[in-house]
Parts: sequence; C-alpha cells; structure tokens
Amino acid sequence: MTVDLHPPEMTKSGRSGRQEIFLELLDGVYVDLHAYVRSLILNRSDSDDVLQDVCVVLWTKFDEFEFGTSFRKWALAVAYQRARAYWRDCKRYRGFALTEQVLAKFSQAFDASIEIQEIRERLLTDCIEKLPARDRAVVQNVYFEGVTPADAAASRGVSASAIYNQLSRVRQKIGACVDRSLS
Amino acid sequence: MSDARQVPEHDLRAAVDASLDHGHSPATIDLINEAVAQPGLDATLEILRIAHADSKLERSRDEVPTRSRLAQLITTDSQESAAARLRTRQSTRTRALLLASAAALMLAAAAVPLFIVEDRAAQPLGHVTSLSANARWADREIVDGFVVRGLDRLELEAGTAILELPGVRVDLLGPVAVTIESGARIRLHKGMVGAFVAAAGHGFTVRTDDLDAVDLGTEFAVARSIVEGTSVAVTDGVVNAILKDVSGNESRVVELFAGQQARFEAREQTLVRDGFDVAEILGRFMRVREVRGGIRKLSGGARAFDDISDALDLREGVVETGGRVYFVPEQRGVELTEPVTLETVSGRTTLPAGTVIDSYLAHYDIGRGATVVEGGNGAVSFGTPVLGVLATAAALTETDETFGLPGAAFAPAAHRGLEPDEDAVKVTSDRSAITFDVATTPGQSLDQFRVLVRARNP
Repeated sequence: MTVDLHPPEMTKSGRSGRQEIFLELLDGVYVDLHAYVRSLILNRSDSDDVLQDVCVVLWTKFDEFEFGTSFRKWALAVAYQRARAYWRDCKRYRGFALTEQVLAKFSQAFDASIEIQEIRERLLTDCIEKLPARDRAVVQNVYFEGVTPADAAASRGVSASAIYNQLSRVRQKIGACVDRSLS
Repeated sequence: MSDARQVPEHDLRAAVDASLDHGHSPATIDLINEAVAQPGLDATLEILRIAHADSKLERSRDEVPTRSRLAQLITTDSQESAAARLRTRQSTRTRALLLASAAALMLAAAAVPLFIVEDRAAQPLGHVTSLSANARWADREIVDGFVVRGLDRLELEAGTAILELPGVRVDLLGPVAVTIESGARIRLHKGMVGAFVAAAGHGFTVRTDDLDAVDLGTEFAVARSIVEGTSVAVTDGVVNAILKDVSGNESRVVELFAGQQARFEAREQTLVRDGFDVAEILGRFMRVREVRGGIRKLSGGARAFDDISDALDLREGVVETGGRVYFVPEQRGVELTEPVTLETVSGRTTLPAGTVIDSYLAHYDIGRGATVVEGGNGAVSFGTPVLGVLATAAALTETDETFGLPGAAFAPAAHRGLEPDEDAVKVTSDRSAITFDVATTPGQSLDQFRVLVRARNP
C-alpha cells in the first residue's frame, strides 16, 4: 500500500488544510503503521504508546516530508527509529532488548509477511466457502458481522459454550484447509 | 549462530504471546532473539504473522475474550472486512477532526492532541475476567476476557468480577459502576471496588466525586454511595486519599496505612477517620476474598461460586450452570494425618501425611430438561500448586466427607464423575492451573470433579 502523493493541490490554505492532508495521508497508512509498530514492539500496550508517539512525531515533522515521495515509507522509517529508541530504553532500564539485527530482520520482512498474509487470507476465503452451511453461517455471524457468541447462541437456541465449541472446531477445519492449500 | 539450537515453534509462539499479553521478560526476549537469529526467515515470519493478527484483531474487534481469540483471528478473520470497518471509523474520526479544525483556528492547533485523545479512548487497557456464577451486567453481556477500553463504563448489577489493568487487579463487587479512565485510573460512580496493586501499577487511582484514592503500593477497597460519600479502607500498604471540595478542587491529603480507613463526603466537607466499623466497608470485600480463596483467575467457562449456603444442594438438576462450570470452594486447611493415595486424572497419587489441602468442587449441570449435547471449557489458575484432580465418581464419593463442603448434598455416584471419552481435565506442567473441557448429553446432565490444592496458609 504505497501512498505516492502527487504535488498537493493546496486548495485549503493555512494550517487546517495542511492538517487535513496529513490526516488523509495518515489515514491511508494507519493499518500498516499499526501492524508495523506492533511487529517491532511486540507488546500491545507499549506498541500503542509508541504508535501515539510516532503519530505526534509525524505531525511535528510533517514539514520535512517531501511531497511526491512515499508517505508510507517515511512513516515506517520514523516508526523504526522510535522502535529502536524504545528498545534502547528497555536495555538501559531493564537490561534486555531485541537486538538491532532482529529489529532489522523484522523490518525487512514486514512487506513480505503482509503478502504472505494476503495469500493466506485469499485461501481462507476459499476454505470458508467449503464449510458446511451451518458452520459457514456461524463464521459469517461472529467474525464478519460482529455478532457476539452469546447473541449467536441465543438466536440458535443453544448455549454460548456450544457456539464457542463450534467455532473451535471450525477454526481447526479452516486451519487444516489453509495449510493443505499452501502446501 | 548457525549452530544455535532450533527454538521449538510452540515455545516461540508462547514467548510472543506472553510478550504481547503481559509485557516483555528477559526469557521471552532472549528466546525471540535466538529464534530470529537463526538462518532463514521461518521464525521471523511466524512472529510477524502473530503480530499482524494481533494488530488486526485490535483494530477490528471491540471484544477480545481470551488469548485463544487472538489465535482465532490468525486463521479466520478477513483483512478486507477489518480494513473496511477500520476505514469507516477512521473516516468518521477524520471528518470530526476536520469539522473541528474548520470551526476555529485554535482547534486546528489542538487537532493532533484531539486525535491522540480520541485514539487513546479506543485503546484496550485491560480485560474482565473471573466472573462469579451470579454476575449480571446492567446493559450488556460481558463475557470472560472482555477487553475494556478507555472511557468504557462497566456496571455490574450483581455478583463479582475482576478487572485486570496493567499491574492492577480490581475486584468489582456488584452492584457497582465504574468508568475506565485510563490504565492507571478508574472512576467509581457507586458501589465498591477492591484494588490489588503490584509494583508495576503503583500510582493507581480510584477516583470518585469526593476524593482520589491514590495507591502507594498496596491493597485497598473503596466504596461510594451518594448518601454517605466515599469510604476508603487499606488492608495493606499505603494510600493517599486526596479529598476534594464541592468544586472538585483538592482540599486535603490524608495518608492511610494498613488497617486504617476514612470516610469523606465532599458536599459537607466531613471527614471521619475513626468511629465506624471497618467491616462495614470491607465486610463483603473480605468475604468474597475468603470464598474465592486460592483461586487466582478463572477464564473461559469457569465461574466462581460465591453464593455459599450451609445446605448447598449439589445434586443433579438443582444448581444448574448453563454452559459454565462453577467452582465451589469446599473445605480449607485439611491436614492429612496419614498418607492418602488417590486416583487422580494424572494417575494414582500418594499425598504424604502432613499435607494441608484446600478443595474446590467443579460443578457442571445443564439441567434435566436439556435436549442437546452441551459443553463447557476453560481454565482456572491457583495461587498454590495443584496436588490432584479427582474425576471419577468413586474418587469423588470417597472424598466427599473429607474435602466436601460441610452440609452439602451430593449426587449419587452414577454419572457424577467425568467420562474419559467425552471430558478432559488437565493439570498444567507447573501445576499452577487446570484446564477443562467437559460435555454432557441429554439424560446425563451432571459432571463434577474435585481439585485439591496445597493450602494457602497451612
């Protein structure tokens, strides 16, 4: 998901127009940025904090961003530097850290891993299609429509644990199907 | 590093999961460093896969009941739908910010902080766990593992639940209503909470309209009612009660130590430090603690059974549990006067004389009218080692008198224990927890098993 901003047409002058452009750019890369920071920090709450910091830094340094280049690449680079600082602090205060080599490997493999995930998800769609109708319906309800297992259970007249058990079995089926397709 | 040992995949997953869930430790980070340093990209891609799934889950779900739910997403969520939902939310957020910035230049300068605040409000801060059997929520069903986010309001009408925040365990004792203002502060609107604060959570604050109770390394309870104001009782450590006046301004700081309590009412500016019974505040809090005993955490379909009566009837069809398994605290501090050999799920086990034991009965009863196969699964962790799990009807009946709840009525042996081909109970390798997966069929509604753990205070 590369975002190449062509020379911006500053139709909205002043700070609010600039801010609007920033937010649009950030909106376009936020999914990747979230996953990237989570991959480098590997802790949920800390990565949320780091992500917030990254957003602030991106905004405060937005003047340095060169329009016409990739905002995504710039944002990930800023995030990488912030992640390095996080692990430096961790080393200093807690005595352990991911190594520079590990961080670099995560960063280098990040895009490849997204592609692999996308392949898996395409296979996933195929595998869901192959499920029996009853299983497909519960997957559709819970994972795609956001129905809670409790509500799904109530609408079917069964207990929530029965739904959890069904979902557990379905996950195993889907996982096996994806693995078969990949191999 | 080519001769480095191959890190088993399940160890790597466990390390990444632990870091994501509970924070880093030297052991998990060493293991991740070691795995990624090996030639090839297998470990790297596996870690990134878990991190992506975790990221996607957080962005696409409002509720993350358990760690296993994270694993679900790895294979079952849709990036397209997740991205679409996210985009909808982000577009809303963006529009709101743009409107705000257009309204006034001043707001434009503050737009990024607004954006940050709004994002922070949506951040997961902790989760709800260890529900009691009678837990009932006011406006929605909250299941074990429910993720709480900034500014979430939780209103528990009855029963008890635990809210886990970073470094802090908050006991919610219904009826109670709280708002999660941050990972380090909750607002208590009414009712009572207890807070157990580890080193990582120092500074945790319970805020009411009357005061801020700021932890300085402690265990304390706070109760609030509109009539009586706010009471604070400290069972361990130190708490600063920062009192407020009717305008919300800080008016006084009262330091409370273990065993001390105070009651404050902002409107009247009254402070009572003595002359009222601490049990008045802590009575229920302490009773729940006592009932839960050595249970540290219940997850999945496990529920604490707090409603203990002298004549508890645990026969089939009386205490129905739905799809959940109730953990009933039984006898405490039973000291064996001679060695006892028991048939446990791990095989025959002999407990030596002098062993002091606490007992819990797991009770699962879908009711006699059930017409479908039902199942319940989950896990319970204990503060002391699990000595054995008794799951056969014979073993249960044999130990009812020694370990069972005094006065309780137990079912006859038939169908009472677990069925080896349908049910499973396992003790974790470190003996700190059990996992269970039980099922019953029509006409056979009751499953029970007994967990014996080393007593907390022999």
